[in-house]
Formats: sequence, structure tokens, C-alpha cells
Amino acid sequence: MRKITFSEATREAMAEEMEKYPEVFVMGEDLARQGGIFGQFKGLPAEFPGRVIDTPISETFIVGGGVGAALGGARPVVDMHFADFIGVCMDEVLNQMAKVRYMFGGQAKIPLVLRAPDGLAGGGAAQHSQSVESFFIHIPGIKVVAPSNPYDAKMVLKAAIECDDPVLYFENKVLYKEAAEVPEKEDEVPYEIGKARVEREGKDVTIISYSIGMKNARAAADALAKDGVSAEVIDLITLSPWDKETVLNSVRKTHRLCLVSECVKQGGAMAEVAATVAEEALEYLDAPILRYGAPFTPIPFAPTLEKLYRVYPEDLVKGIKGIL
Amino acid sequence: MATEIFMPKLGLTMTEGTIDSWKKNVGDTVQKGEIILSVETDKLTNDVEADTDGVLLKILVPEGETVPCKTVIGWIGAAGEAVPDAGAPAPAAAPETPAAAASAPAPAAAAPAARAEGEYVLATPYAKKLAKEKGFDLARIPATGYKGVVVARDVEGFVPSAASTAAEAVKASPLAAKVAADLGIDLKEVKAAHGRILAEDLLRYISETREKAEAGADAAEREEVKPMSGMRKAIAKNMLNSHMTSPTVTFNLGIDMTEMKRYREQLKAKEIKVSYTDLLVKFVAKALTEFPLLNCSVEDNKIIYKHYVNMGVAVALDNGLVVPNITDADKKSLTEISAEVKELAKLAREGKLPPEKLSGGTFTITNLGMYGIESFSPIINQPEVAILGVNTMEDKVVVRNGEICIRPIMNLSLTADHRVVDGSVAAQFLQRVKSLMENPALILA
Repeated sequence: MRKITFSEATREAMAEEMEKYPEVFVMGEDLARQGGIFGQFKGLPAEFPGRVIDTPISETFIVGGGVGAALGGARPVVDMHFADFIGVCMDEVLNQMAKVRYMFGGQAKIPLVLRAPDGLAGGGAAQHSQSVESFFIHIPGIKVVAPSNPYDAKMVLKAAIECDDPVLYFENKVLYKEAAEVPEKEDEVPYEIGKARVEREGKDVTIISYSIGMKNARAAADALAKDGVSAEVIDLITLSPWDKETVLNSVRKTHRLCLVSECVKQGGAMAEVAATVAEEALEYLDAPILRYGAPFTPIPFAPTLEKLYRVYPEDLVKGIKGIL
Repeated sequence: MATEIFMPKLGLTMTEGTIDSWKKNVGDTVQKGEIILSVETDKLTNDVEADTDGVLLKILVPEGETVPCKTVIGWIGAAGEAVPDAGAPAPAAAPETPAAAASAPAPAAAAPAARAEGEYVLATPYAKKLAKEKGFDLARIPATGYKGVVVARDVEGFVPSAASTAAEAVKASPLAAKVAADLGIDLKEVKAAHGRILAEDLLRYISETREKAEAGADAAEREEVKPMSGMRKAIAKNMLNSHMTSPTVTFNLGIDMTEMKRYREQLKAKEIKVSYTDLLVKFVAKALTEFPLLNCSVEDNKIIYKHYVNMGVAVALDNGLVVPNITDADKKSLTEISAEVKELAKLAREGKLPPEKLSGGTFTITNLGMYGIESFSPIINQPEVAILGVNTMEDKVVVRNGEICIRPIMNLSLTADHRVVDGSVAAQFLQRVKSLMENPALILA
């Protein structure tokens, strides 16, 4: 099977959707001229003239304009350059994009995708490295997705574009460069937003993550397997609405739960998973829930400190062995 | 800060100890150096002193329970002070190797299942669910999980005694339950005639217990029930264990003590006073160096030969006996042996024997001669394989060189473990002891 990078996979998804739906267009900073800051839009401007639009440096306009275009019948994909910048257009996200369909009694739909590159890329510091997905799972009216590999990147983006509700698509900057096998178009299996995937079956502990956190989950599972501990690994893929049943079923089977993400641990998306398991499957837990994430501090610029800020597979392995 | 009370390690070979009795109750004030409990090992009972001043905050291991050395058995601290999590400091046992420490945290040591009445049982939700499904009482299940918590595997691996399962699933009619509660009767004690306990079962139980109580009052005048002391329990356990372990044969041989008596008189004339026991220690130790099979121990299918003689000498006490040993008896002079025998006997009677003197023996001598005993079959002091019983010395008519004469004769009774000591070996050994004792000059040879 062919191997392509995460970045190429999202570009492919865009091209296929633009081909399929004339109402799909892309809007953001440095897209038409540069092909996107991480090259994720490369070639699209030539392929679809007039449908890749550069905007002024105004996130408020990018999202606000996207919502307006969606109301007018388009299927816009708007790009945030860095996920950190959503702070600028928070009202457009929180009060417009997420609420318009509800406020109009369902008479209008908002088939908008907001793409937001996030994560620690090395030296990005406190304003260009954040993982902010957890803010948005608290907002009813938006779907939040965060794929962890090229194939999912493509299929989740296609599903997001085809969705009639606004979808916040988080794409990790480090994952962009990672290549993996992605089937040809005719062999693709469509992704259904809201579904998690049991990536690896196991019986001793369930490790759950999403996006780049899956690297920690997989590496920890590999290390544990060497010591005879069988870990089940689940990729949530969609953070809102998230796949409660898949998670609960797994916990009912393994009786132990380890959650990991790159974002700040406090108030993170994984806290919601932990709380739900405690609410609905407490009697199946045979150990405390483990939760790994970043410390409650701005992301440091100094490489040595950034190193300390990260979560490592060894942390998970040690923690899990402590509760077996 | 509260301080732990540990199960002490009272000797090299001690791996676990049993709480004989707590001398203080929870809440009592204790002073450093004050005796707070007594601990029973397989050898004897020792008093344990408080390491610090304070209040006995908590007793973690009740009387009669056995736990490994260095286990936390209680806490001393300031009045009202909270005690840290019971499980946390427990695995203080063996020093971890660096490699083991680096790889993974060792699972916490199993906490004793015995918990104080009404104590909250730390258990995971899943363990509780399983226990409920299986009808187990969580309080009875020993914990092996993180921080001493009862986890699912503990419940799954738990085998309740038949009696307790039955008792835990008590079903009673509402009337029976109410009457039992009013009268303070534990329904677990009541037998149901048909399935669940009815009021009539309860009435029968009440009349039966009354009869029993009346019968008991009579019996109490003719008999007396006393719990065994720690030392008695240790002796009972060790003797039974020895009896179950070793197939024994006892050999008796009379020794003509004429020369030995003379030898002892000679020493006495030079102000060297030694007892027959001292002499026996010296002479038997020499014989043992020549018969290694009598000075060995058995472990699994292996025979462990000892290249030293640690001679145990049984010392009778008012309430039992102990067997301290004289280390390297084969290398010590008679006067050294004599001094040591006296010292050990004195310490034994004062209850001050250091625990290391009570382990590591390789052979034992036990003397009942002072009571006029002529022959007996002593029980081997495990893990040794033989024991020499010493009997009374008596003037007897014997034939020497075709003539009748009177000689002081002393019988020796050797009990040997036939797993390793065959009859011929035991006999030759005894013969050698006889030869040495009848010709004391040989001790120098």
C-alpha cells in the first residue's frame, strides 16, 4: 500500500471534496500564495482557481466570514494557522459558529470546518504550541475531532467537510510529517464522526488517547507487552461527541484505565472521560484511573524546560505497573 | 510524627514472628524502653520495648497473628495524631536491588487479612462488586494490590472456609431477625432447620445455649482451661514438627564412668570444677567431628554437613525448656565450655538468652540423669538429625576380666533421624563416645 504523510493526506481529502462539491472553498492566511504554513494546501490553488482564498490577518473575519458563507449555502473550510489563534475569534466560534443553527430553529445549517494546527513542535513557546481542544468540548454545537495518523487525517477531514454542522479539526504539527499507509480512494472506509477505534486489543489495562498522544499510548503498550502486560489501546479520534460506549466496554473488560494527552492535564478532555467512567462504570474499576498530561503552566520556550513539560511513554509504563 | 512499631528481627534465622500479646491497649501512654508487646518466634517469646515516648495509636496486627519481620505492626505517636495509610510503609522488608528498583515498583506486600472490627476495608470498586456477587465478606480478604488495597484478583483467589461462607449468607425471617437483634444474638450462630432461620430455630438455640452454659458451670470446677504461653506454643509446635519430620530410632548404651570420674577428680584437685554435662559436651563434640553424618541437617533432598559443632544443651525452666547452644564446641577447651554452659543456663533461667544463641545448633545433649532416669527417647531438635539423652550414673554390678565388680555406669540414649543416620552409623558413633569417655586420655589424641 502507498505511504503518504499526514499533511499530504489532508491535502488529498481537500482535493477530493473540492472535486466532489463545488460549494467547498478554503479561506485563511497564506494559503493561496504559500500553500499553507505547513504545506498542507500545496497545489490546491492551481488545481481549484479562485477557491483557495487568502485573507487579511484577521481570525475574527476568517471564522465570521466562514459562518456567513455557510449560511449562504457554501461548505467552507477555514484555516487558523495556529490553533492558539482561536483566542482572537472566540466569539465567532462560541456564539456564532456553534449557536446559529440552534438559534434559527434549524432553518439554517453551518457546514463549516475550522482547521487548527496545534501541539508542541519544538521551541514554539507559550503562544504557538498549545493544544486547546479541551476548551471546545465544553461548547455544545461544535464537533471536535483530532486524528492521530494519515489515513484518519484524510477520512476524518472528508467526514468533517460533509458534515452539516460545524467541526473543529485539530491537526498536530508534528504529525504532519509522519507518513503511513493510506488506501487508494476506492478502498477507503468512510469515517463516522463520534466513533473511537480500538486500535489494539488487550486485557490488563485500557490506554486511551487521541492525536499525538497516541504515540505515547502505543509506545507504552509496546513496552508493557514486553513485560507481559496486555494493554488495550483506544484512539478516541472524535473528542465531542465522544464514543462513550467503546470506552466503557473496554473498561468493563480490562478494569484499569490510563488516559494520556499532550494538553494541560487540568480540565483536559481526558478529565471528561475519567469522570464519565467514574460515573457509569465505577464498579468495574480495579485501580485508580491514571491520567497523564502537561503540567499546569505555560509552555516553556527553553528546550530543556520544554522537555520536562512533555509526557513520555515511560511515565505511563511506570504508572500502570504501579496499579497492576 | 507517628512512629512505626515493627515486627523485630530477633536473630539471623528469624523470618517471621507471632504477636504473643500486646501489653498496652490503643490509647495507652507508653514510654521509651517500656515493654509494649511480646513476640513469639519458633524458639521463644521475647518482650519488645517501645522505641519512643507517646501514645499507642494503632495496633495493626492482633494477638496470635504471624507476620514477616520488619512488617509494621502498630504505631506510636502523639495523642489524637492520624496514622499514615496502613499499607504505605509496609514493604520495608528486604533491601531492593538497584535493578529491581529501576524497573518497576514492587507490588506492595500483602496486608494481613485481619482487620479491626468495623474497620473500613480499602478495596477497589471492582473488587467490591466481585465480593458482593460471590457473597464474600471483604474484611476477610487479604489485600495484595497497590497501597494495600483489596483488588479483584484477591477476591477471585479468595477461598473462604466453609463455615464462614455459610455464616455470611444468613437468611432469617423478619421476626427471627428482630428477636435476635433484641436479645443480642448473632444469627450466624443459629442453625436453621429449613433454609432460613425462623423464630422457632432461635428459641431452640436459646434453650440449647442455656443448657450448655449450665453444664459448663459444673465442668469448670473440675477442669481448668488456660491458654498456652508463648513458649509452650513454641515447644508444642517444634516437637510436633520434629515428630512429623524425622523417622527416629533410639539407641541405648551403658558407659563405664570409672575413668571419667577419676579424670574429673583430678581436675577438681587442681581447682578446675567441671560438671558431667561439660565433659559430655567436650567428648561428644570430638566424636561428632569424626562422624559428620550425626552433625548435619537435611533440606529437601540435600544433606548439609556442618564443619563445626554448635552443641545445644537443653535447659529446663519452670515453665518449659530452651536449648541454647555452645558455638564451636569442638574447638573450645573444657574450661571455656564449662564457663559457657553455666552462663547460658543462667541467662536461660533469667529469660535473657540472646536469640542468636537459640539458633544454629548442630547437635543437642539433654540430661535427665539428676532425676534417676535410666533410659528415654528424646525428640530431635530440628533441623538437627540427632540428640543425645544422658541418664543417671549408678553403681552397678558388672563383670570385668571374669570377675564380678562394681562400676559407675551411665546410660546414653541416642535418638537419630533414620533418613540420614543408619543404625550402624549411629551405633558406631555411640561406641566411639563410649570409647572416648572410658578412656579420657583419648581426648588429646
